[in-house]
Amino acid sequence: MIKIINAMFSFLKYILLIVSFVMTFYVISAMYQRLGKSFMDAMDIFIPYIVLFILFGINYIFKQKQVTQCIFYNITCCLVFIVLIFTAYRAISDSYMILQLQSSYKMSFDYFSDMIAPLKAMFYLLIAGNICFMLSKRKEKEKISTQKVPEEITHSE
Amino acid sequence: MKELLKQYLQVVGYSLVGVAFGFAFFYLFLNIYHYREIRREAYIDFEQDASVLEFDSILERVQANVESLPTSDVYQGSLEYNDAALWQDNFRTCIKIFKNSTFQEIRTKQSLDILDIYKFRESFEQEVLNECIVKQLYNLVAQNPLNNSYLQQNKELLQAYMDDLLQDTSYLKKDLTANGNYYFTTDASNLIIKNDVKDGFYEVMSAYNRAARFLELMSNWYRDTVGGTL
Repeated sequence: MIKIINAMFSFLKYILLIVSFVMTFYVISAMYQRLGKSFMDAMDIFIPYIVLFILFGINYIFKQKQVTQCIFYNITCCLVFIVLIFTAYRAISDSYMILQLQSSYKMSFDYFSDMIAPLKAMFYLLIAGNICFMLSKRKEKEKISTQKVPEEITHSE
Repeated sequence: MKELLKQYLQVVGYSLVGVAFGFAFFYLFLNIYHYREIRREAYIDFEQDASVLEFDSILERVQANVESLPTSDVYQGSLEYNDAALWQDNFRTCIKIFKNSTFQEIRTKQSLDILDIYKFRESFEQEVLNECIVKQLYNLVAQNPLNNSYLQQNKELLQAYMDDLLQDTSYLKKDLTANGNYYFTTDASNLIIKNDVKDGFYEVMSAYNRAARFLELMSNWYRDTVGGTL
């Protein structure tokens, strides 16, 4: 059961990462167009996406089970991406935010820009967590070693 | 040592992801709460509310003052009759503007939300202030085209009243436009967003009343002038 749930979240996180990236790109491009700023100035917002995407790719290609089979990590990734999608969705279509009515772009840029900093922090935490799991000891080996100990004890007795 | 470091890295990894998990939950619930909060509604009984009743009674008095212009054959006022008729039209236009479609629409509603308050405030600024106070009455006070002694004597007071009216709801506008700014749930920002609907209604309604009182003041002058008592 846990394996099925884990596989589900593991697959879902790739989709949610792509969706959240597209939505962020849409809002940020409109925001920078409105401000008349170069889009290159917004690159620092997309760096965590690119790094996380590369890490997910490495996890998948090298079959790093300590990351891909960590259900807590997969759920957290999904949760962070859901928050980001919800935030971008509200920035685009929540008409109850009054500034959206006044803006010709029909987007709440102030709301979204408030949320960028904490979301970036969460992305960097996921990146750091991913790297720690990659370098850490594999879980399976631990399980084998702990299972052997009681058998040896019983034989000796 | 290497094994210990690897195990320690796993603990650090779980801790970092745990922090991200906590943050994500916090922001998810914060957003859901904010989503619900800005849709908060206020219930106002328009038939019983004191400020609405006061507004209606002021407009009735203004209407009576404006309609006090006698026919040209019995007219004894200090203004030229044509000027008096012209200003009667201006006052009638103002009364129509005060009873604008946005206000009438809001009065038919059982409950108000933040969008209604925004439209209500916009109607005050764009219709009452721009179309009535500025276009119809400001010139009468500031330029005094009728060369009226009463208006000349009270010019500064009336102009100060009008200038005050023009700034009346500017703070509310700032509050309303900031309702998407929800960085952290500080008590101050929380209370402002929560009370925007009800407080906003009474703020705009009091601005309507103050503007109506100004119209009444001017209509009193008109009644006395065309009636020949001023």
